[in-house]
Amino acid sequence: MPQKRKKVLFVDDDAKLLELIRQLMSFLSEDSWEIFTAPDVSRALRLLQDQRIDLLVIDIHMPVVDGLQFLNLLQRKYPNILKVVLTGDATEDYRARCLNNGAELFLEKPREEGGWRTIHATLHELARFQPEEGFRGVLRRVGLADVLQMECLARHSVVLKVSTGSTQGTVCVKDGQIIHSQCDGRVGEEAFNYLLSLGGGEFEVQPYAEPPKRTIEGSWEFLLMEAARQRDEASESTPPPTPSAVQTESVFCSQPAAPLPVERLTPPIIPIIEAAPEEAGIQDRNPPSGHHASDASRPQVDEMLVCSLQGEVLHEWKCANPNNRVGLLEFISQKARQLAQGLPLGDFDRVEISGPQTRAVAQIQDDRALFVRTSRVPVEGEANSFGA
Amino acid sequence: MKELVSQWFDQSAPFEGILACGVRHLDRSTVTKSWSDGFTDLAIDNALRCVADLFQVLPINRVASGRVRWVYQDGLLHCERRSDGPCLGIFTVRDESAFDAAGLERMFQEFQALAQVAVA
Repeated sequence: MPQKRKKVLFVDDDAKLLELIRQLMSFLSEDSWEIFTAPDVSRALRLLQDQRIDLLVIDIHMPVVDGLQFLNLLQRKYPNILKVVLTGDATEDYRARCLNNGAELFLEKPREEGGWRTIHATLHELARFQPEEGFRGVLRRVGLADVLQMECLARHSVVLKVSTGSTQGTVCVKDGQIIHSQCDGRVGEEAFNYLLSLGGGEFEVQPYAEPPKRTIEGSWEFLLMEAARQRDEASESTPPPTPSAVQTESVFCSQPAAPLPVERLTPPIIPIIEAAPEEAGIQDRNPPSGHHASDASRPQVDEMLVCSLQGEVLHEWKCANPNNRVGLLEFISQKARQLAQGLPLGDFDRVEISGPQTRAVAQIQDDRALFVRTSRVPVEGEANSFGA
Repeated sequence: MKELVSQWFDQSAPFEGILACGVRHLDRSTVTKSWSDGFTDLAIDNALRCVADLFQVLPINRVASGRVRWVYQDGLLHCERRSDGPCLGIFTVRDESAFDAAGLERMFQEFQALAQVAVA
């Protein structure tokens, strides 16, 4: 079976260079890449709307919207597109800022032809691991019923995988008909109705695979109406635990789970802000050594942020710039996943950062991400004795 | 300096609970050692790249860093970057009572001390 061509978009304000890149990359990729070019961000965005781009290669210095701003925008709008910076200004400062803004790689523009081979080989390796099929993009607060309706109307054949922290299920759609569903021991319409009653979670549209047997008959319109009726009945008797929506493609790399409503998060956090990080649920039993603070001091929480895995700030306390903290958590999540590639480390839990005076913990949980920064302050008695 | 660090790294002795370790130099080359199956040179090199990326990004986010510890279900990665650039990453078992914390500290202290040796 012929391999699907990768769609690679190069964005650079140098028209001559873009043409050179187009020719070189077409030649080096042996036509396995479909190459798009854009001389500015606005045209790049138009292409991103029209095409399912696999890999985006961006210059930094561009007029109006530069590469760094573009990366920032892409990280919000298209977090799952692989982004690479290709620049002639490869300073360490730019490298750090580009990585911070979601770039997978930071490459220097080659000055000779041999260098372009290396660039191509690097990009090729990066693009190779992208999934060939599946659902991509960011949709927020989209109901499962909406997605199923779209798939059925388009007469697609797909498998919709649905998951929350504790529940996993599938819905099989064949030629626009819902033919099978299963979820934690339930099958058929029971499983289908259960999945559609879930308050939140994540889904992924996967290529169709034949189910073990057909467990659902009848039209999809009736099934969706019946599921909606059951959901309405249930919500009249008991309030739903979470907003009735699912969200796709978390910007964090963690296990999917239902997002928690803000009101559930707020009360437990307030009391612990004044408490030691240990009490705040931050596992600090054995902090990284080498920067031990004095025994005559106590930890003080300087800032705290909790966000959903979709990057929505659920709670923040004394964060000078919450969006930057969300960005840092996204970056750590991405790096934690990359770091563990090929290593027997298991699931990522957190990163602990110890400075001379401060300590920060970034934790990516199943349903949220947490950033806490603490410092140590002298205990009262000791402070008085210092002052004497 | 690079040779000095590499030489020290080659001679450094393992301690109880260590799984693997590596140094990423300023020129992005790495030296690695492993005492456990599954920790290949390539995978350690990749991990050290991520470690270096985080060290670069932290100052932009105004987070002071000395030691960074990545905590995974089945292991820990302890990292430090020296002010002159190289990063040391040490993988240990997750159970903190099952690795020699003093051995870990010694390794980081020696790594940091090499910068002074070079200056002297």
